Amino acid sequence: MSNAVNSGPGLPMEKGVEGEPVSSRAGPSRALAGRPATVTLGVASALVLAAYLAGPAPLRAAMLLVSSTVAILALGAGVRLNRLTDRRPWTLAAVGLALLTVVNAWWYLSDRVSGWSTGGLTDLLQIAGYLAMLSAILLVVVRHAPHDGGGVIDAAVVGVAVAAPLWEFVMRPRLLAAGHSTV
Amino acid sequence: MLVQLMVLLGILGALQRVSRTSGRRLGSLLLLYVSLVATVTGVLASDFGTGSEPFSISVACYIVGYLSLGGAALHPSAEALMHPAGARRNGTTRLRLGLLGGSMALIPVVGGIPQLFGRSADGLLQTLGPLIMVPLVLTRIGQLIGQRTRAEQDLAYQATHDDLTGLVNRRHLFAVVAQARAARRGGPPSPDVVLYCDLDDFKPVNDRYGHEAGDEVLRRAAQRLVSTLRDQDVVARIGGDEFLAYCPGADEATAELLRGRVEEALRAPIPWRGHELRVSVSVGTACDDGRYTGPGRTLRRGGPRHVRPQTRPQANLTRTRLTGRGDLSPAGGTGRDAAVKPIVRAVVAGGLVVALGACSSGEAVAPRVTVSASGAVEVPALADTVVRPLAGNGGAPFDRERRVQAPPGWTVSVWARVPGARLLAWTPDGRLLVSRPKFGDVVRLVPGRDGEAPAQGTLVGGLNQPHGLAFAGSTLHVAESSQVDAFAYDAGAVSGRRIVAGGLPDDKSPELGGAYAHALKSVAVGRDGALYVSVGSTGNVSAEDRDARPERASILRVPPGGGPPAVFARGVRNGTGLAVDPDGGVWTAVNNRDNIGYPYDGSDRGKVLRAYVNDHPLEPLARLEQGRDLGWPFCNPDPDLRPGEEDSPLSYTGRPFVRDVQTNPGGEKLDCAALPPVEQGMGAHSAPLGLSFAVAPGLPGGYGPGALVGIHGSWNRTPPRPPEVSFFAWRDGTLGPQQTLLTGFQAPDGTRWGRPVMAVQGPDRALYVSDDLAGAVYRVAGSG
Repeated sequence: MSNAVNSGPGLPMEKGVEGEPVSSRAGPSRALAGRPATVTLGVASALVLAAYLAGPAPLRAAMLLVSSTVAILALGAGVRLNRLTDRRPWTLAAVGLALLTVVNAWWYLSDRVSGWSTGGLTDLLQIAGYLAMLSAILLVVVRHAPHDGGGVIDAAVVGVAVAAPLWEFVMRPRLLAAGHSTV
Repeated sequence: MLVQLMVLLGILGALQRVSRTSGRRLGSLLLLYVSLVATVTGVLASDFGTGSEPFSISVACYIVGYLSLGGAALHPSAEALMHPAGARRNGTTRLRLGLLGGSMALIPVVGGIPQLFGRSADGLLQTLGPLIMVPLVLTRIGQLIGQRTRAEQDLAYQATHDDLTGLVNRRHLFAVVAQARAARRGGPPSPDVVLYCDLDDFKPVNDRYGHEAGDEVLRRAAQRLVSTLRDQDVVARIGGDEFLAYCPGADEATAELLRGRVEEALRAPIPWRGHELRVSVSVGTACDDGRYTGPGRTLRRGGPRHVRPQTRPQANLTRTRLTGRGDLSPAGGTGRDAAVKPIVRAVVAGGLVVALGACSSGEAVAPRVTVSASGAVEVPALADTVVRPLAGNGGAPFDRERRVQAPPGWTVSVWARVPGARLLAWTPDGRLLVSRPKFGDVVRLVPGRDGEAPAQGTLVGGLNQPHGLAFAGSTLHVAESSQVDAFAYDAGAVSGRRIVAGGLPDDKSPELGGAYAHALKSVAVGRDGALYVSVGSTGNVSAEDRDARPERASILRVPPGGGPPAVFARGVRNGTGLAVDPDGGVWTAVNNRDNIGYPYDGSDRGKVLRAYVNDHPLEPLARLEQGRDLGWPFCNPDPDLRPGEEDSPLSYTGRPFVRDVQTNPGGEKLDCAALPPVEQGMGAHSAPLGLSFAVAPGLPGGYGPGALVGIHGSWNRTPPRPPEVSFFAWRDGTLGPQQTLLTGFQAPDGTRWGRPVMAVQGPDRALYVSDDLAGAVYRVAGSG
């Protein structure tokens, strides 16, 4: 059986991982790779979460760092296995996760190595990491917005409004009671 | 902290909306949602102190958030996530307005509640809330204003244009004239010409062939007027078969030239379903020396007020070619006297019509007619448009400008170059599959960004002339010439090939000629999961096919869950078009027989006459039921409204069968009168190939839901039947008559640069049309 594509010269061919036309490795290999990889991640996630919730203290301490590292690897694998064409949101997500992984590593070491301490820089990295993650998700939303712009804006307005009672009746009283600043 | 909370919840709301409206269950989207929710929860929990607990809630949430984000990219639906399924624009309902109002009121109300209990209000909430809310609301208002502007533009267009022809209407023409005159007031005199065109012999066409033919005549006449006159001329349809053209800056010599061109253009026959409709035109020219002061002054003189459409000398106009010329000045428009004197008809024609228009400019524009159950949709005439190749797609035949006729305002682009492209199917995750029997493979096209050609790859190759493609959920069925395969489809790849119908006959008959000789199969999946497979005949009139096992010239049915194929419908010479309608009915578009003998008594009985062969038998578009017989080769669906009469008008809706004089002269082989009439039909030798349904809301521009048929065009007709994409409106559970949606692939000498095979509607509501001659897939994007 030949899987060669006869699409002629100069046609935009979908590229495989190694930059060759994917026709020689037609779909099934991709399908075989996609689902088991997702299942593997699901199992790994369950193990990481279980280790954090029920494992011994030294193990628990490392799980935040392990989870963000695994997530970066999963992102990279997903982009390659699914041959994602619009990579901007996933790149942003990977950058965000990388920044948060640095922060998590820093925290992990600060508890174990004298001289390491968290402070302004880690806070900055953390904020940048979350902003990158949020931007990634926002890009997905924007991608859909032209088809349903009004609905997306309305939903965002409702979301912002819901934040008001959540803040006023749940978070602010608890923050004040705990002696934290609300700013 | 408050800003974080509001931004996070705002994005969460937007993502929830995307999730709700995506129309597909995407695991990747769900994981993104989980990631965001977990991160929000983690952030909220982080400041409450967890040191005394065995574990931190916020850390657990972060772990879930990270891993879910990774899972979103890894999930096979990640690619589909970035390709929205289609437009969704809900109206701004009262409920949504109330929800928005309540949301905006919530922040000040919640912020003020503490004061009711003697506590201080949170200034941060009162300040930040509006700061975040206001830009969102302003964006929403801007969007609504945009919608309103577009709606107003649409209304303005409808109020100033004629629905049928797409020309401007009388009201708009007079506004243009008045505007041009006003702009020139005080300047040097400039001559103008008005051409008044009245179609002759239009009513007989309407009476003889029906209103559809009449509409086509009006549409073609309008197109020819526009293409014949100069760019700066404005053409309006001012009445039933009356047109008025305003030609600014034209002098007497130009008027004569234009009149001659119009007469010449409208003298050419108008092709319609195998007929050549003929009308002529009477043209009155009225010239103005530039001193005309506008319709107002004419009206004040009172003359034209006496002239109403029913009193205008229309009868004379339709029988006498008007060649006079006149002056649009008040002296030229002398009212009733001028209207009744033939010698000055032409002198006053233009001026009177202009004045009459001004007099009645307050008339309401006729609303669109509601389409009846079996009627055609009322849409504007097709307009000439340039086929625009996307970057990299400009090779032959698109190395020179190609033009087609499409609904006005629609764009046609060469979206992809796929040599040998035949039948099409959209995957559940928004990729377009193209079968290529010539190359034995199925190609997948992954849409890129707007204006970019899609990425191409082979979905599966090494097949025996794959043709039909049909999805049942995530199962892809591919009809090879000898069998039908089922594949598990997932994220642009297939696996687990199974044969669900084997042993299909695929021997080719040299008699049929052509590349595939009826060996290609089409496949459709019924609502109940049954498979329907088309099996073509071995020859033009090979009656033995009806007794072959498995039966040829048939539609086979494989029961839900599998099993041996059984005959579902017979006498289907080559039902390449095969699709299931929105109600679950199975339809086929059939390539019918060639070289039919003249069946009626007389010296020509049994002879193969070119004039008769050209229009007989029609190509059926029929709804199939178990056991239905489409008659081939013993009975032929007949388009003649007056059978046996020379030049009988043709009809293609609900047509009965007549005996084939060559194979069933006495009616012993098959009782043709007992066969149910064919629901719809196409002209003989249309060669319909791909059949698909555009489900509600269907096509834009007033078309709505309907069936799409790729008309490949004939090789065995003189002149050849031109290729096109046809539309059959789907209304009240059935299909209306054939309407041309896209044409222009054939030159007047019968040569072609393209041959559409199949048209399917994409997730973006655009049409995607395969063409195996040009080796292309077109994207036809509508408006309205």
